[in-house]
Amino acid sequence: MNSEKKIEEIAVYWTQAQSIVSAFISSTVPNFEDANDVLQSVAVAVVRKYDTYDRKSPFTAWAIGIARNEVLHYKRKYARDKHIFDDELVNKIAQTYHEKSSELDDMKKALEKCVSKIEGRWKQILQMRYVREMDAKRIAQCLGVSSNAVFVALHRIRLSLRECIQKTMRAREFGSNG
Amino acid sequence: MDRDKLMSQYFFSSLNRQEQELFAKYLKEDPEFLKQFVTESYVQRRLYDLFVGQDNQKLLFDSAVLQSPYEMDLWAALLNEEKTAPTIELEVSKNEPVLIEKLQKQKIVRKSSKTTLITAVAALAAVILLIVYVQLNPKEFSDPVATLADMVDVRWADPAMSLKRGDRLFTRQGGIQLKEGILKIQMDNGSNVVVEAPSEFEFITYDQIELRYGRLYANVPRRAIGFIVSTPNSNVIDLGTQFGVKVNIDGGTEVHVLKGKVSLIAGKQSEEGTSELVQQGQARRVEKGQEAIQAIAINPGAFVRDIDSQNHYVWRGQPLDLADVIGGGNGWGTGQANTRIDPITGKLAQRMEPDGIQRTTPYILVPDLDFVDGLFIPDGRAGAVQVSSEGDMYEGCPETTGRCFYGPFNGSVLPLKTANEVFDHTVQIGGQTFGGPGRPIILLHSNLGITFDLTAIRESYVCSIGYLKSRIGVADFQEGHPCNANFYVLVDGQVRYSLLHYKQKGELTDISIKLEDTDRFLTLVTADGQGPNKSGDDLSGRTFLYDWCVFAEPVLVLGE
Repeated sequence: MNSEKKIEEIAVYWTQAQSIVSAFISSTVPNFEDANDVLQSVAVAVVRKYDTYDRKSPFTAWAIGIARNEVLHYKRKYARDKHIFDDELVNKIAQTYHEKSSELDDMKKALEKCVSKIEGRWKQILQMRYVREMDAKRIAQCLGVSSNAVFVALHRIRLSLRECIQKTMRAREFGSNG
Repeated sequence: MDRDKLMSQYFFSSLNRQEQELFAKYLKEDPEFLKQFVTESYVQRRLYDLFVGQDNQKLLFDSAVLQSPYEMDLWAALLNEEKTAPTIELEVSKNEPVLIEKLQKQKIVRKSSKTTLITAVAALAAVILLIVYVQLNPKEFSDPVATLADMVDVRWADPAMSLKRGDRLFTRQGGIQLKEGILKIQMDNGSNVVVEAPSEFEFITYDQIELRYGRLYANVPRRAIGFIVSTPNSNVIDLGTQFGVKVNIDGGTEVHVLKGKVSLIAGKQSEEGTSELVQQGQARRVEKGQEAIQAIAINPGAFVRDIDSQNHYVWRGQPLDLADVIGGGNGWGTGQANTRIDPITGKLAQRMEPDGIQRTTPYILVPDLDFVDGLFIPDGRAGAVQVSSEGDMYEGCPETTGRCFYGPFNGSVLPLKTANEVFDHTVQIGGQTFGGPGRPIILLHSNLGITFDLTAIRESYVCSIGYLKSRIGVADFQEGHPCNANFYVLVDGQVRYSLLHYKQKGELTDISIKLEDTDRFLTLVTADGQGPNKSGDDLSGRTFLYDWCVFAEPVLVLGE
């Protein structure tokens, strides 16, 4: 395979797998910037190791495998604390991501629909959380309110989103069956 | 402990060691909890991608919500209400937290910025090339985030540096070291930043600047809230405001908040350091190597807030001098002293023509001065008087002799005519010389009116105008001759201030007049308090002859 075609093929596969791979990394590396660094390393490794990829198996599973190794490498290198996600747990999470990958892909549209319903101050608090990458404590510092107040707000948004996604997916399922 | 709350703490905050162990135990032992965690961590990541990625533009910035006034205080109050909401209680651990993020932040080296990845998410074919490029050229990879809008007297530390006006500025291109001069930078997020030498700074992201030393002034619009200035020992997070940051060469940081408020976080790790909300009019210092925040006196003049190389304008917040404007200047000392505006031609003139001038033209335009709209002789005997080029009329204008002398004058040496002799006379008030450096004046012998165009000033300096401030009185000339003067300040033809029948030479009265953003024309008027001449053209014995009215230190306070 010439290199141009190879890059094109990887790009297609990668585009399909990236949301799952990046979510897996973020689940074990909660700081988004750090997770992005790991994601970048994974992408580089995917390119380098692409010749070893067996096309009979799902690309996402293969990429999650590479991501798992990068996460473990990252944790060994940078995180002094290894109690929360040891190798066993990282493997379990990677395995679950692999098992749920199509379900998660299906969830994408429902999530986007639910996010579009978030308005006003809740959208702004999400902006601080995800665009500014502030944790609850830092948001609280900025606003001059207690950390607990911000926790509660983020927790509520999380639960509301979960409920909305479930409802949206159930409605879609019902619609397609009906 | 509630597993849902534990998961929220993992996503949004921190878990102490005990909670970490519990969380890991749940994940290992409860397959359903593990599945739920996987689903929810996927949601968290998607939220990040949606908000930060290209979808972000549509999702956030086209939002009508963000175009509405941003009520930070209201928001804070609402969040506080949530704290007491009955249905969900999320406990903040009292135990010593072990912060996952903190531990992971031990790694400082970054290969690319956040936006690098955003681009990667968006551009399908480019994704791999981009990553490979970053891998091969980690230091060269950067994003454009700002434009060099203007510069004054700049000398770079690196002689090879050749930035010029209009050049784009990039993240992670290494520190920009300024040896001399001042830079004005327009950031893509809408913020304006002015950096004064000697200084070194670097753009970290589209909304973060690292100031290693020197002085930086930031004017941040509401849509760019969250803009960060990081220094060797602090982070300053903007909350929609104007503030200055000074970093001493030893690494100590000062923050001066001129408008709005900022969050100052002392210590490079926000979780470890102390923080404080610094309000308008306050200043704080963080010494090198310390996390304690000390209150210090604000020094609003310490920072260059704006520059304009074409107009030779360097603004540190000083008010705009209207006397300098009359001398043909930009309001900051570029005008010529001992200059007047001829009340017949509307042109600048050096020599004084001390003959009485009668009102012939209703309103005289002054096209040569950007900020002066025109002149007029106030006399209400024929009804309302035009006071602006837009036709604003002064209803209730006092009746006067309809004559004036000289035209508005900026300076200290007046060639005064007595009989057939003309001699230089220094303007004094209460024995003190006025009209020179430090004590500018507009000499406005009655009867005369001059109108300034506030909109032209606002547009030229991209600022708001808060107040007209001045000290008014009558100069000491011609002792023994009584004066009787009326002073008026009009805005768009309406009287905002008046001081009538002022008969005491040598004393000054302070005036301070609030101006609104909608005010267009500001008019200063002096009129003889004795009224029209009832004995024809004979002016002898008229107090009007001696109404040497002065607007001393006449300034517009900008940016408030």
